[in-house]
Amino acid sequence: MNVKDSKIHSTKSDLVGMKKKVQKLTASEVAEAALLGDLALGLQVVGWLITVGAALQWVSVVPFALIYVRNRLRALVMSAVSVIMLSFLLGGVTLIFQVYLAASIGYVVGKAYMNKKKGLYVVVFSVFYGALPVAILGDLLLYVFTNARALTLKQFEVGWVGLGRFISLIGKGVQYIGQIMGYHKGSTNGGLASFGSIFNSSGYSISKFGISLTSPAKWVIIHWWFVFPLSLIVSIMLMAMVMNIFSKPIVKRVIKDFSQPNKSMLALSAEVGIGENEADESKVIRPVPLSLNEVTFFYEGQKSPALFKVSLEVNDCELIGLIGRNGSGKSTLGKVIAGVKPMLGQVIRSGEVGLGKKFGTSMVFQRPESQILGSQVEDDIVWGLSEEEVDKIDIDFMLQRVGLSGFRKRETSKLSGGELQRLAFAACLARSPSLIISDESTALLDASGRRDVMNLIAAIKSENVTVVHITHISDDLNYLDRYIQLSNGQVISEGKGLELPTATNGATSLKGSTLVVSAPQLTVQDNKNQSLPNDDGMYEVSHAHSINNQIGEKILSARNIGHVHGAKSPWEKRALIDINFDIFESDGLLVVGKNGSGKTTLAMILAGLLVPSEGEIVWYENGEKTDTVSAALVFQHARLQLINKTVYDNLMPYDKSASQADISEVLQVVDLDPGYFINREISTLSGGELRRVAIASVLIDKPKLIVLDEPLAGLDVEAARKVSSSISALREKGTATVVVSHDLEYAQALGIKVLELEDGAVFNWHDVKDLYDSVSIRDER
Amino acid sequence: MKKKQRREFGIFRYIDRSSFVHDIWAGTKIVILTLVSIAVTSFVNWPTLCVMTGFVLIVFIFAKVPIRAIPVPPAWIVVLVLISGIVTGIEAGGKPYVHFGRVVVKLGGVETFFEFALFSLDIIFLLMIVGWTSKLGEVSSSLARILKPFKKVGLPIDEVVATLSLSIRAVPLVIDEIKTISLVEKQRRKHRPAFEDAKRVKDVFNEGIDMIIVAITSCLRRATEIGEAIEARGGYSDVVGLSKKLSRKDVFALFFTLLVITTMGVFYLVRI
Repeated sequence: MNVKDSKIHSTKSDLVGMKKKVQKLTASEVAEAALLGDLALGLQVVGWLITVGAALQWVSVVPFALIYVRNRLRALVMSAVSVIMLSFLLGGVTLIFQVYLAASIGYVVGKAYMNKKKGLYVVVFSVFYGALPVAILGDLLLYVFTNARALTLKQFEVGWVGLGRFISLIGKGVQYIGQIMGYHKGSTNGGLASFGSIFNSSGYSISKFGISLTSPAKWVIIHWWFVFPLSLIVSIMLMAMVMNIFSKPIVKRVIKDFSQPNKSMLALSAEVGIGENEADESKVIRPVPLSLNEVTFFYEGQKSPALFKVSLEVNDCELIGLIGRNGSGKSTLGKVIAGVKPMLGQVIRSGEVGLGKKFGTSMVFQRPESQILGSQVEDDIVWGLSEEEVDKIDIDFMLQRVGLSGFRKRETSKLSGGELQRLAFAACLARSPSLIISDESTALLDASGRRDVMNLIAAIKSENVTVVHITHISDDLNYLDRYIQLSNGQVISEGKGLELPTATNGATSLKGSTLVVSAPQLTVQDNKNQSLPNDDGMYEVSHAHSINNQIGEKILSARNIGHVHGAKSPWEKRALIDINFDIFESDGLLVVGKNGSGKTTLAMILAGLLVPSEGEIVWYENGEKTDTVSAALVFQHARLQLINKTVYDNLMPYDKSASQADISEVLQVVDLDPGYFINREISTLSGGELRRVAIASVLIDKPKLIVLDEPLAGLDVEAARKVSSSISALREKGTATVVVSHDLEYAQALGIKVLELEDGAVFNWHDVKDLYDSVSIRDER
Repeated sequence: MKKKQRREFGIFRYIDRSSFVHDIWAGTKIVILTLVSIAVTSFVNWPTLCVMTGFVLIVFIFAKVPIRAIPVPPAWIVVLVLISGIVTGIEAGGKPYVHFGRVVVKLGGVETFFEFALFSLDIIFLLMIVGWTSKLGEVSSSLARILKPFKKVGLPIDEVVATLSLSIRAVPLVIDEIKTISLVEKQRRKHRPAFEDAKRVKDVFNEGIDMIIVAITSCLRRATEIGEAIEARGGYSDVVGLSKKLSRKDVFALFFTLLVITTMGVFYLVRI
């Protein structure tokens, strides 16, 4: 309630502000307009393609309504304009009109929601803002393009009149049959004769009806300028009524989940920064050297400070690590260094921070795909730069510096996480910064991606740029000049790189994590020949890859699985070829391979979500073949899998067949305390908890096989360890697991046998133990 | 168990070939598409449609796109549309008349049907060729270039271009999301009860709402991160994109298009 009120208030003040001076959209408004607009467009296009899609096209009103409720009308207009341009390319003029209607009704629905207006308001104003403009513009277009109008109306007439006459023809046919039957009137068969007269009369009326259809068609064609707008208005009125009912609960819930204003701390500080810049332009941009003196920072509504009396110095050209556990305040400290004003204490700088400015401060964030702003590599590097700056930049050189030579025209959506992060650094370097803050930029990468990024950071530092690297990964320490360790918002230790932090509370976790970072490398050449499946006999092949030592019952065998995406189309791409293996109870298969090696396709096939184009998966029950597929997939994007509001709702199957005890049990399997978690809302869970709830949600059906797609991607070390131990707990309970991963750090917990794929084919089979024998690795526990 | 795989098709899905049409800058292609669509809509009649069809076919040939790229709706739909078009067309009648002995077939309606169909298909087909031969990423920077002059008129082009380029950038992310949600739904469908009683219908309805909310919240979360990334790059004040000089191929393509449009105009005025 409060949120809503304040929202209304702020909108009103915005409007007042707009009269004085039109405020450009903020960065987060632009981002929201773009993303939600895309979603609306996506719903429209999907609505075109599938049969029941009309409903989805209506739903696309909701994202637009939300843009308006959360931001300003200006954001909605920008979103609509850009989506309309995009939709012209995707679907031509029709789609433009549809998108406009959705956006305008979205505006009205949003406004009605904020001002608590009734349905009538929505209907009236949807017609006013949506239907009327389209009707007038449509009439105008039809009027101007005489020939196209004539053709369209003619086709309309042909269709309608033709249909009418066709019906009439059928009627006449029926009548004729009836008359033939009627000839037998005098003869013995009286029944036939009476049928004949029924046919005769009904045929006559059908024929009449058909002819009667044709006359309104002519009327419509003459009065097109009136009939077209009228039909539009009526349908919009209906749509508005339905949408008002439908979107209210959605808007309400989303607003509640996202009650905090969307402005990030950085955005706020940037606004302040702009104001200061305007005040004295003469101030030089020089973020380092910098010294912090007893800086304290509070977040609103939090009891303990995020930073408490932190003092430190950052000098020219050094590579400093801020290390510590999640919640230790290291990211907040990074933001203070980037220019966010602390509540207490002093920040002494040589000049302006200059976020994103030349010789200023640049930042690289954690999540690779959400910090890349361009569709092509070169677009991303110049995104946001002014024209003069763009002319001066040597893009090829920038790419060469980060090791992405030749990537210039590549599409950013096809790059791997490590490549994206290096691209993000290239975009920073394009601004020739003197300070780069890398906020957990290595946290979501696999071992090789991490190495590449750390090498890059070290290289950047050697080019006289100060780098502040925030991390919880201890391997990164090897690259640092010095580190500052934080715990509970306070500096607990400092030291040179290489030497490990002393054992204090915070440090234990760091020490733990040192043990897992030296990921085993697959040595492929050595034992390639001996473990490739041989071509003779299915049995032998499966026997060679029966994965467990104490073999349980066989649950499935994959026979000559192959798959081609987009077969017979120009986008045809082979994903898998000739894969064979068996899976038993308590089995653990770990599927590894590079991006695009077919891992995810295999996961989908095993989970029964994709029918392979070649070969088949045979399921067994008590040694007999069966048709029941007993598998479930845990998606990489766990948040999308948990669609209901609370943990309980997500664990309860659709048909409410589980009991409270069942739900508690599956939560315990994934090591989550039922008492604490069962009624938690999904939006309050951390990344690792989300993954474990997702595992529990498929576990409730007791499938024999659980397939997990990249279960550790994007998790920090601690969460990854917990999720991987949950996965090995599944196997202890008798469930077989297939884990798709490109990360070998936790191989031991993730599987027993390792299948390495390359270009869709079996490249090698490994035993997890062999992996670890070859690399000296200390036990995690 | 085994289902026949439907042939995939792509809206604005790039086909990697090297051809004359691929080499033309995306911006030029968008301009050509717009001009030709307007021209054919203004001049539409049989002769101009023939010119337009010829143009589209020439472009298609020079794009070196395999015929398999053309999406074909299921056969029964094609047959149904054709039959209903022809039947209603014949019934509606009109000139020209064709005599088969004693039987007179009035083809006017059929003619209209095919004219209308050709008119719609030509434009859609040209649109698809642009999609097959241009990368979406290139489209974003070329739209920025095309829109730039409007800045002088005082339109807020910066904001439009920033929003547009971000939304094009996010298209793969959103597609991925919609795909995942539909797979999640597919997996959960196993448990969905039949639409028997009203309460269950309501459950399914609520499930639908939940899915939309998940899509929206995921978009919002991403938007927050992207917004922060924009701030870190110092805002979006000048999204200019890289400059692009028109090549000879672009000039030739534009010239050829103007020629075609002029021909259409002449055919329209002369009314052969």
